[in-house]
Amino acid sequence: MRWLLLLWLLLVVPGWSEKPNLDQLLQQKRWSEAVPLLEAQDRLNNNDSGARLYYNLGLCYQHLNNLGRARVYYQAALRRNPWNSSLQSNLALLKAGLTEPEPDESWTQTATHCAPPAVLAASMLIFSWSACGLAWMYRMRPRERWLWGGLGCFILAVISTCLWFAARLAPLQAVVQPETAFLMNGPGGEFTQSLNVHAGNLVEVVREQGDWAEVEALGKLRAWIRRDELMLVP
Amino acid sequence: MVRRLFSILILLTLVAWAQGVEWVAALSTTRCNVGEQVMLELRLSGASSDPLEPRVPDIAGISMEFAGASKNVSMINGVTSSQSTYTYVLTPTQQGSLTVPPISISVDGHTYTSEPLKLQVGVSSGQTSPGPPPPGFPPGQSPWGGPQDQLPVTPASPEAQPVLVECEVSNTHPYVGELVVYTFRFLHRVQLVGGVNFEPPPPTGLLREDLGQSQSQVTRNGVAYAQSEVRTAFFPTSPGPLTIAPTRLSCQVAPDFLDRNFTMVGDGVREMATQPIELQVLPLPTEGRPPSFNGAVGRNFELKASLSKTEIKAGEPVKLQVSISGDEHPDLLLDPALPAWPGVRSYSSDASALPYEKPNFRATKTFKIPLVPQQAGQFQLSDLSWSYFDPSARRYVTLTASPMVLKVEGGPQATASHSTSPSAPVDPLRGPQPGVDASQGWALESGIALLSVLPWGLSLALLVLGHAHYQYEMSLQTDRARLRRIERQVARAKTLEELSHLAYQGLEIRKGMALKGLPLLRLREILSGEMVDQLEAAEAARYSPEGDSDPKKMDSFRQLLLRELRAGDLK
Repeated sequence: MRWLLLLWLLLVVPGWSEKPNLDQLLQQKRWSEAVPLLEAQDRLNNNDSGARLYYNLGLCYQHLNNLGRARVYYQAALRRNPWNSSLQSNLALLKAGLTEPEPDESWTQTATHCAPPAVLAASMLIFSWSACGLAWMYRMRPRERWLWGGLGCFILAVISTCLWFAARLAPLQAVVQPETAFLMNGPGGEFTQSLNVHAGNLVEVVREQGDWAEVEALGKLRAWIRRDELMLVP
Repeated sequence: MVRRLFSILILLTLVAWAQGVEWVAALSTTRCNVGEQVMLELRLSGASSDPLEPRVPDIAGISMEFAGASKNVSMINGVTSSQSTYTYVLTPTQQGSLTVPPISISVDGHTYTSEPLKLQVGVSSGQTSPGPPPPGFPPGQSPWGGPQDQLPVTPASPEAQPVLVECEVSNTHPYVGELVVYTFRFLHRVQLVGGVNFEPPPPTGLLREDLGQSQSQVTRNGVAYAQSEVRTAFFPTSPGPLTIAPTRLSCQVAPDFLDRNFTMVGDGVREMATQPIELQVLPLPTEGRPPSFNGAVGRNFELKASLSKTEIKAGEPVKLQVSISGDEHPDLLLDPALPAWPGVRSYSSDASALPYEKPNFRATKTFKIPLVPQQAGQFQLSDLSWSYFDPSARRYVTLTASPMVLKVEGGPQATASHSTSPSAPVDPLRGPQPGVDASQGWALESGIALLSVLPWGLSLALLVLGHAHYQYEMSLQTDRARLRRIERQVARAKTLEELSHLAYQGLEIRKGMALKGLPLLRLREILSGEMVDQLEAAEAARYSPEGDSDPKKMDSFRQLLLRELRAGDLK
């Protein structure tokens, strides 16, 4: 019995020493140690984590000067919570440091991440149900306030629905990982070379063919790039 | 003795004059600078036989090269005359007043001598005194460049040539990256047939930009020419000898038989090419090279720097715009090196070049450099300098931009910066966000969209059902439907009173009028006698002690009533 107790103590006691948790690592700016924990947590969530986790991952990689991965996670966080001012600021600094500057995003691209998806979904539901209810009330007893209220809710429901669809149907995005990647005019090394893109540049994936992916980069330039030079935005 | 010699001379001149032999020497210009080329033309006309080559003596202070000879034979009114021209290129090597001595030629056993010619040689531009060559230049070669005229490939006196090509460069000894203007001229004094095929020299070892074309009228030795001039800017990219290949041109001249100097060669197609031009590209001196120099060579550069904003918040980026203008190729204008401004971090720049100006090449290149101040406060951005090499002065020149002031407002960082040293760097990135938030993947599920559409779907369904029900209700109110209902009720009726009640209802629908309460006589007019009797019997049976459920009476009443209800069409 004594031996069993000793064995148990030997196995468990080392774990009693307090491992620094993730928040402590981030506060102590131990970025390289925090990255594996964050990525493990993301895998547990089936690569569908919250905005805060992706923001912290992006911040870690930005401090580690890995622009490609930092941009991937910042974009993932942006999709989930575009109202995060820290995210906006850090992403602006990252874009300023890109080797190949990108054109400003169009209004259609801005629409895809103008509000968190949860807010869009909630507003879509609320305004839709409210508009319907007010319409029924107006039918039962015509009152002007119910008419205008119903119309207002209907318009807001339409807007929310459009933005929701924009977020839902946003194109698949990816970020260039290597320092310099070559865009080709076809899916193969035998094709002529187009422009170069650099680590951290955001592209939209149009389709994939074998080891190559057709992308839209640097303002509507369509070309092909090796699939392993991209990392998809979760 | 003197008289005898004078007589002989006169006799010889007379004989020569009688024979029409003329031996003339002429310079293209009587004033030039050291290193510039001057054409010496020796023309023999009127000789009946081919002359021997003239004996040209060496001239002190002038290097001479034979450029070519030509002969022009013409026959007019049966009289044949010929003209031979010998052309030399003279390059004075020292300043002063130089003399081309008389040159002799032997024709038909006679010797003819030209007159001596004076040439005034001055100092070339950019040179205060003919001092030592610049360091690194091979000895024994002339270091001074200057305008040089190249002869056309087709030698002859200009007035005999209907078309001419020539080229020149502004400098045969440029420095690496220095602008060299290559000028090609095409002169013609006759009409041309069709277009002109022009093949410029390939820019091997050079950066090249076009400076445009111009047309003008010029006069050469009293003959008017139409001149087309093409100017090209070349920038040598490496030191050492460099050859600008010939420029080739082909055209077709139209015949002009009225021109006594015109000679038709073949079908009038002329293919011409200039001589290749040898450049000796000099390396940039290393002595005195400033740290901010990165390869630009030229004259009259301008440096301007400005900030996109002068007041920002801590952590916000600001763009520093640096513009450099000068006669250097934009590809050779590289990023300016920023000084180490404490507390400001710079990133890679974005460069753009404006279209260069013509005809005198001048390019402007702008660099946009993102800056991120790392702390709050007021920053004095000074000592932004950029250097270039001036080939005229043969020295490096450093330009310094005007100082710029940047005010950075900060929140918490501003107070922290007061307590720490001003140079303590502050991370411009925002901090981490502890904790974990929930995934929002559910919000983009299709079910959410269905849920939001659900009330409208339900509403639509309710409206459709309600309308259907209404239609159904309305359908139940027709006379035919009511009669059918009454017929079914008649079949199920159990008393004579009930049958009587149903009879009135059904017959009212049939007749389209109210029947209940009408007097008996009126009823007999509307209804059949049998029906009225049955109604009376049913009314009486209500008060009869046997009751009003007699099956026999009920059957007969029922049969009659059904017959009456089913008879005829409805109104």
